[in-house]
Amino acid sequence: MRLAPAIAACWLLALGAAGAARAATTKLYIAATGGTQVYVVDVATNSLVKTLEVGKSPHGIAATTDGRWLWIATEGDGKLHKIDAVRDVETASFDLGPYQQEIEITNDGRLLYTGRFMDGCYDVFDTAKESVVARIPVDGNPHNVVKAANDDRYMYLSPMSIDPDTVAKSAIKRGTLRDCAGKPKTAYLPNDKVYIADTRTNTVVGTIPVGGSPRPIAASDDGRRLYADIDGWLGFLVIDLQARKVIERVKFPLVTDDEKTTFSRAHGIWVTPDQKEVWTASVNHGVVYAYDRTVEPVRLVARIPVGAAPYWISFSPDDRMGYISLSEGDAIAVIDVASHKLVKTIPLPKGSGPKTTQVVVAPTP
Amino acid sequence: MERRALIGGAAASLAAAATGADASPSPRFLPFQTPVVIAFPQLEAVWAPAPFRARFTKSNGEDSVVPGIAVRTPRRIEAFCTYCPHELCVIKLTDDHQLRCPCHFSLFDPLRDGAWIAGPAMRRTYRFDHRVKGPDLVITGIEADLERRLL
Ligand code: FES
Repeated sequence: MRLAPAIAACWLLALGAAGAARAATTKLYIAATGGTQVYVVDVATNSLVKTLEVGKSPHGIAATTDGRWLWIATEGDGKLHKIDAVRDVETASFDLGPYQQEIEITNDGRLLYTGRFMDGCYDVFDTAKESVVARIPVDGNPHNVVKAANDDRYMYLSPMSIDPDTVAKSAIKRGTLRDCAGKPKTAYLPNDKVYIADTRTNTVVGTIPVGGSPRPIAASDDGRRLYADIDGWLGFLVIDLQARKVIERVKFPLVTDDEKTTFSRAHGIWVTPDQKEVWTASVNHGVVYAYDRTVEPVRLVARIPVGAAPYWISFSPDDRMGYISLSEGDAIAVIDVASHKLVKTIPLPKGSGPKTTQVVVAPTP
Repeated sequence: MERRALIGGAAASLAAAATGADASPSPRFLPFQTPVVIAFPQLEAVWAPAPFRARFTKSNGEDSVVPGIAVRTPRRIEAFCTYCPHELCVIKLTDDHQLRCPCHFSLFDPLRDGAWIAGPAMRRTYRFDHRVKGPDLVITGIEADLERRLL
């Protein structure tokens, strides 16, 4: 899904040191949401090198900008795990409550934002104090959070919605839909906006209506654009973050009869490290789309069939490889970014259900 | 001779009631443009699914294709819509004979008419209208409730 910022610099450092000792190791971390593991792939060889046991249904991954620490949220047991990314060992874990989702961390590594899906609440976890220092209530169900790599003044929160007539009603009846304080809710408000949270005050300072339940989002490094997948829209939205409004609604071009007649939804979106392209995916159609974002309206440059349902996207810091998690196929598709061609599939254990991924340039011990 | 396949009906309603899923004993179905016919020899092996796709017309006049599998379980021949009721990812039959969604891992029981077991779907799989006709399984329609998810 993402690349720890400052990684481009680390990557160049690593390249400069080539021939001498390697200064850093670039690794792809894969949350196996169907199991209890995080898989580690060496980006130099695109092969699986390690398996970390973390906890039930790993979902969110975030790394500190120096690549030293990795944080992983496990949805099934409600924990936040601190991983030493140099040695790939867990050093601490914290109980934050069930249904932890995506996470994001400020550039100084101090504040970590994590959504509690059923509680309409984003928790702000202070990694130095090792405790939750603020809670941000939202409509809907907290799912995604991102920042702009070069400007972490704001966190962009995209809570999704569940079906208000069936799932939400049933959850209210069972007392599993709660507020920030853990009090059972008696009513459910679906969400159709992106929230802007100020990381200095940990309060919401604005919202951007998007016309549907927002799903994965991605910000450009300079903080000027946000790209959003939305339920009910087979494509994505382009959002001007200064004007705080949607400026473009992009629809995927449906080519085959199969694509025209079979339901699909957009899920998984990220910007290439060189900031030239934005990639997103059509899940049931098994296609990843690459758009040139140096022009507006954005321009389709490639449609990349990947077979099994694509779900999350991340890139190697040198812009060479795109990594697409195939939850249905228990694999990672490796795409050559320049040619937009599938070059390799990294198989993972059956049932592992890979989802969120993160590329980290970790210093060598 | 045409008879109801050993699927759905009262067993489905009972399973639905037991799991809190949709308890409607006889849902409304939307007819396929062309019925799906699966000859029994294709379903000889137990737990070997035969995938199929069927086309119907939505109320807005557009065509829509619905995916499914027919499978012989140790009990009988079944047909399951493989759109997950949660967010319509495509469910797969696992090696341990459950229907599992790869997106958020909802589980359904193929031995209880696709009853919901676990996960965010919170209802049984969408039903097909299907019958045994001579040596074939004939699938003629899809539960109408699916349509609101596709519009
Ligand atoms: S789409 Fe099947 S569990 Fe979410």
